[in-house]
Amino acid sequence: MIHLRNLALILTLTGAFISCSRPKAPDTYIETQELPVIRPDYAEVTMPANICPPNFAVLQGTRNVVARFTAPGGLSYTYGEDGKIIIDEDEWAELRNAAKGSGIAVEVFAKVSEEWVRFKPFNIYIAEEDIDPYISYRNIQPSYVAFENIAIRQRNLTNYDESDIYSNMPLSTEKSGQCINCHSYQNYKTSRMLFHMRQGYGGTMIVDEGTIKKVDLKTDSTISAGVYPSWHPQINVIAFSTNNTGQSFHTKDIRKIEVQDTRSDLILYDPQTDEVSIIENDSNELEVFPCWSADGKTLYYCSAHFEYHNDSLAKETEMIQRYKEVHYNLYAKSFDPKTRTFGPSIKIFNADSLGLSATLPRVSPDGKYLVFSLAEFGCFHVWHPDADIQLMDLKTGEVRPLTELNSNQSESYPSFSSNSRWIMTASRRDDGNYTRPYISYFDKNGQCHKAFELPQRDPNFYTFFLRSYNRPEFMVEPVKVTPQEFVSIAREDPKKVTFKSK
Amino acid sequence: MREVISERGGLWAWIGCWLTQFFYYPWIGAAILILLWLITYYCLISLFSLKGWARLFALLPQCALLYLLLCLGYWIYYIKSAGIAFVPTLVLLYASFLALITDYLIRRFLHHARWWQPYLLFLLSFISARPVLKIYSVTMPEKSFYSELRMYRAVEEGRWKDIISEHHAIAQPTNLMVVYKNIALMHTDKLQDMFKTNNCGSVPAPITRLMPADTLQIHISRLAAPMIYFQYGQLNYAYERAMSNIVKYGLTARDIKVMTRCAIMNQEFDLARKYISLLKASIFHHQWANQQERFIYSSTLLMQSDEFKNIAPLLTDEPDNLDSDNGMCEQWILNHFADLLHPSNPKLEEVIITTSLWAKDEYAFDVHFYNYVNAHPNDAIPQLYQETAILLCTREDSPITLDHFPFDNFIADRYNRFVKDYNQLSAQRLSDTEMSKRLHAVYGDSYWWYYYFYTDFNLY
Repeated sequence: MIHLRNLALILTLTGAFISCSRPKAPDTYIETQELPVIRPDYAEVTMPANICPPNFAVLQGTRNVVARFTAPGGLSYTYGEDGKIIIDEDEWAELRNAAKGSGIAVEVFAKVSEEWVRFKPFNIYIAEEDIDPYISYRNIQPSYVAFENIAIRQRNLTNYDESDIYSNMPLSTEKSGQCINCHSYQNYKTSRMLFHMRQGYGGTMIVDEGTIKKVDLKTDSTISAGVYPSWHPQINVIAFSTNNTGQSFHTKDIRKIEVQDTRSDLILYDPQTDEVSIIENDSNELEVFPCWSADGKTLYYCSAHFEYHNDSLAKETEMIQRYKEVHYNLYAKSFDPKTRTFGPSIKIFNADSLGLSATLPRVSPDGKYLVFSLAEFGCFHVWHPDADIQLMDLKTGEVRPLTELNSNQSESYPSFSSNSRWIMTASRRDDGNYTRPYISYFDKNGQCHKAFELPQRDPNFYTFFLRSYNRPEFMVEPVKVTPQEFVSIAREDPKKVTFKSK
Repeated sequence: MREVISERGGLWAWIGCWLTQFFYYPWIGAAILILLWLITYYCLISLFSLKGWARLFALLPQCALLYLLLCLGYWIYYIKSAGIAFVPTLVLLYASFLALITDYLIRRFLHHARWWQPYLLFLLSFISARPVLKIYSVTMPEKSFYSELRMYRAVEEGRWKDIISEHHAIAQPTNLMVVYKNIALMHTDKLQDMFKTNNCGSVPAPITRLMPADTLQIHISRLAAPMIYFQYGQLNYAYERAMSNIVKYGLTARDIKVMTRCAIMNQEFDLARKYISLLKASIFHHQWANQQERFIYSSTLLMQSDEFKNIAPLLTDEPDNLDSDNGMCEQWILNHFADLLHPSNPKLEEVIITTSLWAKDEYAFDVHFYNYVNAHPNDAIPQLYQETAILLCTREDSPITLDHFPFDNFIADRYNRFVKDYNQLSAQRLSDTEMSKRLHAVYGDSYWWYYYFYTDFNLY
């Protein structure tokens, strides 16, 4: 009879042997010039020098697969188990450091019908530049009216760590569910940040250099509380749109939902004094999506000219009837941070003249480019499969589509990393319904490279994950306020802001 | 999993959810539940050292749990506690087992035994499970609940005759049963029998918790809207309702299945693959998922399948509209089809006309009737349409004149008899209920009876 101690030793050694054994690329194989089908698709993408391993699944009808990664200089590692390529984090760091500025060659082998096949090798290029180490997003099921179990989360891009910034679950009840949205930061830092809570315990959560407060941005002189925000990069003011938003449902169209504003304006909020003032409130214009330039001297925004014709109809009804007539253009407005005064508005992109609608502008921190979403009409492009990201050269005014970033599904909510080298977009290319973060390298010459999907530890994660990634935002540091701290402030009554007329 | 487990009592919810899937075959789910109850029973009699007849006390918790399950009824659609069928049992099992082990260890090693020790340990173990305690109603559910469950499963599996049989066996169907019945008639090309089969739905009684303030009305939208919309070819709304159900009440295979079907019919194949992957990972739905996957790769197979070929004609060529059902599924279906013009095929044409009759939308019928007779100048007018035209042409503002159409004399004669009988009973000053009963015996299969005596048409 085996003594217990011996048994333990045998088990330990067996375990150690199993854990040390690693897959090996086959010595003999058939070559094919076909690229392997992998998910997510990381073939020929350019990745940041500090990103976590891009694990992927090989979809070649067999679970017997391996992939060999070879960096310049010959450093090579092979992985593969049960149809998945799961890369060791430390070894990936070695590979990407060795390949910085060049590429890692990836050879994928699959055992099909008792024979190994080597697919056409591809590269994963490693850029010289890092990416901001964190992003945040709202995880929400792409539902239309119900909002339960929504969380704003942050993800460390250098590994797979993810944590809640705020979840509506502790305060969300059947009778007073709470929608949370529009997380936003000043200059990629989290010491100044905000997000909104609607319905139950409603208000806007403002974090301002260590103090947290909940404010009600609705005044008698404004359309609504603040909606789409943009925190000024230097001084402590926030531009918001105020919107009367409605949604209705397509009976047949694949877009499924239409979200429209019947009225919208722009306001400026000062967190120091808790005052709001009007930036733009033309009753025949639908102003929305404010965005500051990096130097803080220009406010970009979108506006659609829309005049209601039929007084006998409710605005909502007329908007539903004429929703395809709403075309947003891009505007710029000068701003003097010292006097906090705005100059006149200048139209910088006339999408309406093209029969199109431009939304969600974001400016690169180096001040050279502006990205935005362009679709046939409307403002809520996440539900528009034709929505694509466009790039405007702010020096020449030239606009071109970022083909390498776009797909035949919706791309919306673009944003630049703090070093202007990475563009992230919320894309529905995986399945048309669930939004995923896609990131593209944007080189110094203004060229975009093939986008890659945010890597996950489990390559099949996105297949089984039934929530969208809304409003992906870059951050240079994690949010330090805990969800519990936010919850305790959320329980308090919001402070009413005051309206300051011009 | 992480999300569920991080909640209070989340571990039990997760295990409960996992075990719930075995109710796909009710006998397996029931067998697992009974097994867990037996283990709990033996734990309790050991813990409290029950002997003889006193052992019956150890069965009380299981009886209470069984009664709770039997009383759930329509609450099953509204309770947000995941894995409700198993969670109380799992908590009881955990508490009794943990208390039993702890009691044994204390007696064995500390040589400490007091009469109150098992009771205290059981209480502490129960608290340590961190259960979420909720109180629900203690009234037995109506029969309609079980019939609706059976009918839903039959709709899902395309067993149309079973639906009609189930409906036929119920004296007082609910609106939802009527909807299911009409879907079955639609699939078996028997919509002309809509009023020959009982089309008078009722509203199930509201369900209440112990507190009257928590009375909850039952809504068709929650019970079956995704499947109803799908069967009527309203793919976007079916998808939307299924998604809303998942958000509000948690992921279920039945909602995912509707979403899969919608994605396939909408040719959103990447989306369909996603849901199929989910279902393939389940124990009981992978076969269904494999079957659906074939449709992604062959549109011919799809259009020839029993499941889809009857729905395809309902995918109208009407323009897209922006609309909302405001949570009223049945009302939206009735209004939508009654308002549709220019049907492109006979199936849709029949659905449109019969729906306008179902909704008693006289003006819609006028339009559809004229469209029908103009589109079919050489065809006989179906008896149901003739019955309705004869009835409605007597309206002052009716555009229908009988002279222009080839009506069957026997229908006109029967209608005259109906009017005569009606007037005679009215003259006797009978109550509406009595008149309804007496005329039903002779004219219950006609639209006239439905039109005059089904006055309690409440949508929910």
